Amino acid sequence: MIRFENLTYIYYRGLPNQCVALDNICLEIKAGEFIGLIGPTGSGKSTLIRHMNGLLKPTVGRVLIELKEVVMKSTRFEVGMVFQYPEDQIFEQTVFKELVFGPRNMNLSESEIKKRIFEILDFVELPSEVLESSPFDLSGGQKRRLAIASVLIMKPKVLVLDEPTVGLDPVGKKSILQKIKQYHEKEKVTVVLASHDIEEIAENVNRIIVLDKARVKMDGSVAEVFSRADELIKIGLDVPKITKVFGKLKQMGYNTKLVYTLAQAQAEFARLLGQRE
Amino acid sequence: MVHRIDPRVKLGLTFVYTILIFIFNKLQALIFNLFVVVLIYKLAKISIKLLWKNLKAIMPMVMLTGLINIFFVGGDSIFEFWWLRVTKQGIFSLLFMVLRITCLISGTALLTFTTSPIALTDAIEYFVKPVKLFGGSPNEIAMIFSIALRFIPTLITEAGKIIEAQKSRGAHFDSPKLMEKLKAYIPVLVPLFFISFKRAEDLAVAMESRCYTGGDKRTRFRSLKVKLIDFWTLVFVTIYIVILYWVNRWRVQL
Repeated sequence: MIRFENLTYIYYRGLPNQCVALDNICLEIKAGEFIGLIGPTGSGKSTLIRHMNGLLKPTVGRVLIELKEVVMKSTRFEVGMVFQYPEDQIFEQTVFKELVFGPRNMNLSESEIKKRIFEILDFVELPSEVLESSPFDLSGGQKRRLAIASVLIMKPKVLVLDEPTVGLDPVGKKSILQKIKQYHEKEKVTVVLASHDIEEIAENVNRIIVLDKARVKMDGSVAEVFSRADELIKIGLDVPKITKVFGKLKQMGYNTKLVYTLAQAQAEFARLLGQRE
Repeated sequence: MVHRIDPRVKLGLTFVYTILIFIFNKLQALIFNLFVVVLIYKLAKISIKLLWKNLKAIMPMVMLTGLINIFFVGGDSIFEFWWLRVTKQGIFSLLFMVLRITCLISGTALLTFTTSPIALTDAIEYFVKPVKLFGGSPNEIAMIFSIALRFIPTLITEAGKIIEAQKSRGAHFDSPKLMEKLKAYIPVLVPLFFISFKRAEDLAVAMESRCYTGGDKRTRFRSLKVKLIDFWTLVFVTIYIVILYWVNRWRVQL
């Protein structure tokens, strides 16, 4: 469980260009939730995420994980963080060395590390032949999967992802998200997914937090948040395309509820067509 | 006001200033000079806090060299302990060193605080014109400067991101041991080089696709013209140098 208590963060405090990135944020994220974090550019998403594993210290307020205040080192292994571009976090000469970086910092035994490596390669579907090759020779999607694997191998209780699918092709996107979702269900971990891709959020999460201008604008289930489409559009966000289609259908007088994912849409269409016959 | 002075004048004066700092060798001249520099900061509406932040970064180094001076400059000793000997001249040279470096940094920082990188490059281009005599191209040299300047903040952000990513996987950047601290930074350099090469390549492609050809035949978008304010700046500085020379000749008994 992660709790933010009156969290305020100010960049360049006391300097002429100071900027309030987070303004009195109060939030509670329960264990096992899959949370989507959305907000226009500059709304404070990345700053909020960086507080979850102590990369940033709050200017005011505090961040608690399992009722303990976040301290630098120990929480780093409890909260795994995957960054936007794998190029920013890959640095070793071989895939093997890349993977063991985290676990070695945790002082795990070599046999445990070996076991985890094969588990994780299998999970992210990277062939074990790549272990001795340079991570920079991998394809874009493979690099991304390696970056995620190098975090998952530490078995964090909370997984935080900062736009993990930017710049991937549709197949690559889908497979990455599938892996994350699978991991969430299998290991019962908490996942926080920050993304600009509203469809991606709608398909995967069970709670959405909307940030705007350093404050929490909305916080609720997918249905609750997407039913406030007008407000979302006003702050520069959007609802899934399929939701718009059904909104229009409803306006035209069809007896339908709002849907957010393709699967829901299919079911709803089938029901509507059934009604007509 | 300081912002509007011609960058060539500012760059030239900064050059003269650094030489002056090393010519004037009396404590009171440096103190007077620092006072004037602070006045110019006020005039340019730049907060002293910003300057202080810059100074703080290099203070440890300055203090270290100063301390070495205290112990190793010969002269009339004030007290002795074992083989350490603190002399009057040593303390004097510590004060002198700190003041000189403070003057140097605060003065030259004024240039970068009040001049945009683009204006600075234009000024550099003006001053490297003589390389034409040896077959070089001032335009290309200026281009190299401006690209280098432009990428400093980018590389700092990139390095910050890499450090964050590695911290997230438990890297120790805050180890108290110097060697371990240095070791922790080696893995940062690898992706940083990788990213900068990639960026250089991207930039080359972008420049080529916009048909960039350097050379001196290009006309300029911003042409530099000497204005009245530049004239007054030169007059002011000339008077100032004369005053400083006079101050420097005072005999002050310590």
